[in-house]
Amino acid sequence: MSEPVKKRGFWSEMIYNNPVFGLYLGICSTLAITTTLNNAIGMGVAVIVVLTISNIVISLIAPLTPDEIHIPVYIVVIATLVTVVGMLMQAYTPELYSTLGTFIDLIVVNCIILGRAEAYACSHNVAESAKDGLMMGLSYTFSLLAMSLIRQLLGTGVIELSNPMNNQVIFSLRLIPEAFEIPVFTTQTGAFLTFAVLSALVAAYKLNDEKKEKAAAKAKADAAKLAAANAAKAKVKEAA
Amino acid sequence: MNRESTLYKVVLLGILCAVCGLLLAGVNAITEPIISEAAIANEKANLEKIYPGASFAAVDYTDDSGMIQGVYSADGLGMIYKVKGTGYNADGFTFLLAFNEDGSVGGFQVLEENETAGFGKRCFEEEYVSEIDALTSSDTAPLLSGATLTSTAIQKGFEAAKALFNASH
Repeated sequence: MSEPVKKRGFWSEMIYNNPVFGLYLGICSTLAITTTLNNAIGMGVAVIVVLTISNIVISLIAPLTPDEIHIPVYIVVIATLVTVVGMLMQAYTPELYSTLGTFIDLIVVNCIILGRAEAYACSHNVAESAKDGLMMGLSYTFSLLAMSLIRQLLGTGVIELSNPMNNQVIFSLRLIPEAFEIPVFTTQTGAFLTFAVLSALVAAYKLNDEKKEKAAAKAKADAAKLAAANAAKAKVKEAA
Repeated sequence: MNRESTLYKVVLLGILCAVCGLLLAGVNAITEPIISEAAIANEKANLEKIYPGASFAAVDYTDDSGMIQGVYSADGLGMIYKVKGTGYNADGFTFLLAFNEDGSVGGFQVLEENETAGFGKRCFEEEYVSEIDALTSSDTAPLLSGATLTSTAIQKGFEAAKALFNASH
């Protein structure tokens, strides 16, 4: 989890420091719940809320916390937040709560949250930690969306989104005829396949990007050398 | 206070847990009524068949028989028990059984069943239902010849609901 060396754009950052496909954190819930778009959005929002607030709280209390007890302190904070989010979801989005089931409670042990607390929030200020939590939460959500879009589309042929408050369908679009559905994508096997392909794509992007960066750096160095040589030449000319 | 001392750590964790506990209690106070309302929502239409217009609440219970699936109180009128029994059909059947406050049966309403017509199904027809309706919480549900398995399951369910009702009244 090294900090990015140079400033990247929003999307590049999303891909580069993606917790799921880049750092391989929080894969368990990703594989399990990405069967529908609704699940992905629900889980994503829950994680964004927990991660952002936990990063803020932890960056606030980190200076007070001795090293030996920081893990228990973080766990208490994170578990409290997750329980609060769970209770709110159970009250206001019961359908979503029943489909996501135990995976809501398991956000507590989602490595992304403890990982960011330990690696980032405890040593950065509140604003930076909040931003980090938001970014990490967003890229986790985008990963879930990518997985669930592919799995729902290939598995059921339909892209569907419904209002979690009252379970009314907002839109439903059949893109693949029923005869061409690939139901395996709604199963765990499909989850692993989708995950493998997406991680490979992310890795390929990174590799390509690094090559480009190296080439750019080399070109820059060459240009500098050339400029220096030209300047030297010009000096020689002047002297002559 | 020395930050490395054990006392400091104990106090810090104690305060943190207390704050978190308070927060959880607060959120629970807000969400609990909504959650219990939602828990009845699915069942409300069925409960209304027995006590129309009553205000219902889900009740916590401990059931040793494993047949009771839900207990609901109808304010001032009685208690309703959702019971699952297995007769001839292995999928089983579910019914609601209500006891009025005075201990008499307030209603017997089947929700889901797939018993054999002419045999098990007779347990959900007028004749047997009126027999159940005439019972009280000190009686035992009668068996029905030709529908022994189904009526035995109903009898057991009746006993389980009766036990819970008598324990709370």
